Amino acid sequence: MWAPSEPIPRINTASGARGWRNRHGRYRLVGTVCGACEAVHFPARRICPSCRSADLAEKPLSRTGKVVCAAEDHSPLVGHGGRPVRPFAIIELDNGPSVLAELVDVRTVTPGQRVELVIRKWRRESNGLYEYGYKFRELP
Amino acid sequence: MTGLISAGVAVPATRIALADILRAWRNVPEQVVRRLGVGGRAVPGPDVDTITLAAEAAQRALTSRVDAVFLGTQTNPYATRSAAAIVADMLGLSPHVFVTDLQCADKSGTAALLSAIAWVSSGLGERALAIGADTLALHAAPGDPFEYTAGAGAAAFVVGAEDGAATVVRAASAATDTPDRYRLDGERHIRGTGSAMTATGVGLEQHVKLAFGRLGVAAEEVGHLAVSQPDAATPARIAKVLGVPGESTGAGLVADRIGDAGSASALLSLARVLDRAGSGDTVVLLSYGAGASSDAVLMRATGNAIGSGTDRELDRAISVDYPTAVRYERRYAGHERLTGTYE
Repeated sequence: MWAPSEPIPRINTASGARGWRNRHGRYRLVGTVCGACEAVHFPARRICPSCRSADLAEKPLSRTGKVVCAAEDHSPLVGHGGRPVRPFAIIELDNGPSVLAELVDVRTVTPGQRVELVIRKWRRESNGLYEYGYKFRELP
Repeated sequence: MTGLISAGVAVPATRIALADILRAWRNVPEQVVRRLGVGGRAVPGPDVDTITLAAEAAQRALTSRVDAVFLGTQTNPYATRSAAAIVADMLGLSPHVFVTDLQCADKSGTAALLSAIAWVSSGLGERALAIGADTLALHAAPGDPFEYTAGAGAAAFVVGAEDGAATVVRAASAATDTPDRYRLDGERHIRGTGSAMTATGVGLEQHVKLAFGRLGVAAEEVGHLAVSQPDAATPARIAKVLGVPGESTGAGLVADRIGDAGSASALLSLARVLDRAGSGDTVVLLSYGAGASSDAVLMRATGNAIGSGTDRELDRAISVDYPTAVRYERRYAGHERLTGTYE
């Protein structure tokens, strides 16, 4: 099988097992909602950071939201050598907390822009597997 | 009755004009490139592969629970791992799901659709998801004429035991050993086997004729022909070979903007057709896979638009130049190396 000339990171990436455990968060923004104080968290927690309750239920957050503020990342991050500048934004989801995520297929980013979740490749894990996860693109 | 319920498509937004590739290589006469009818082709970004395209298309198609996922592709990034299982998890489907990958060159997509139709018709499940996805652009050798058209894309259909947007009437197939394009295990680039096999269309014309001939539909009755599109000139050529009305290929034309989407090509074409087909229209889906084989499916449109938003995806275009496409598609193999967080 042909292997792309993508570098395999040696450090600072999640182990295969950790990547596997948090996949629902990466693919579908599955966070947790607290049964005691109703706070919504992302990424998923085991203990509620607001009220210390352990009564948490998993909940997929909204796939759409709007840009609160945006910035550009010029660092040559592993797996993105082909894209020298990557726009990032804090995105306020329609039904929950805000997430910091990369924007794709955009020319200009303005606060208030409506965006939707798309799954893209993040990087290769240290065990060589591809790690996929959420990014956002403009809604028409 | 088995029918197509809903559809979704995904095409990389980044596109390159064929004139840019021609300027870089100058290895094909300009009029030969122009004759392909392709203005630009899709360029998969560095974070796009067959699995992400399939997941995007499937997410847009998914309107209800499905019991099976059939994913047809010839460019699965994993040689052994099931891309369909990864996509099922990305969609958040229940683990009680049947998944399988299908590989049959460029007709993998229709092979997946036919499998889904068979799955539902046999009563094994109520609804099945069929996906065709490919990133041919990553598998075209630099300087190969194939590089001009090799694009990427994905299309997904939910098949169910109801009429939906189009009802399946009949299916027919054809296959022989006619090698025209291939890629060996361990190789990156798809090769042609010489112009005697490829330029003459000996595989393409024979197989689509064989499959279409067994459908039992008169050529002049065909309202819409959704066909595999290695380039934008092929649909008209196939229409001529089959004797179907030339205007039947109009609604299904997608290659003029995105190039050859491989396994997704015929399904993207079908999605665009079902976005606009009228009630009672006769729709024929016709695919061709190098190597060589062909599937034909006769359908009757019910007049309910399938709402795939194919035009919206095709129109979402960001132009890139050739150097950018070279970086995105990793055309130069760099050193094998381990790195830290930064490259």
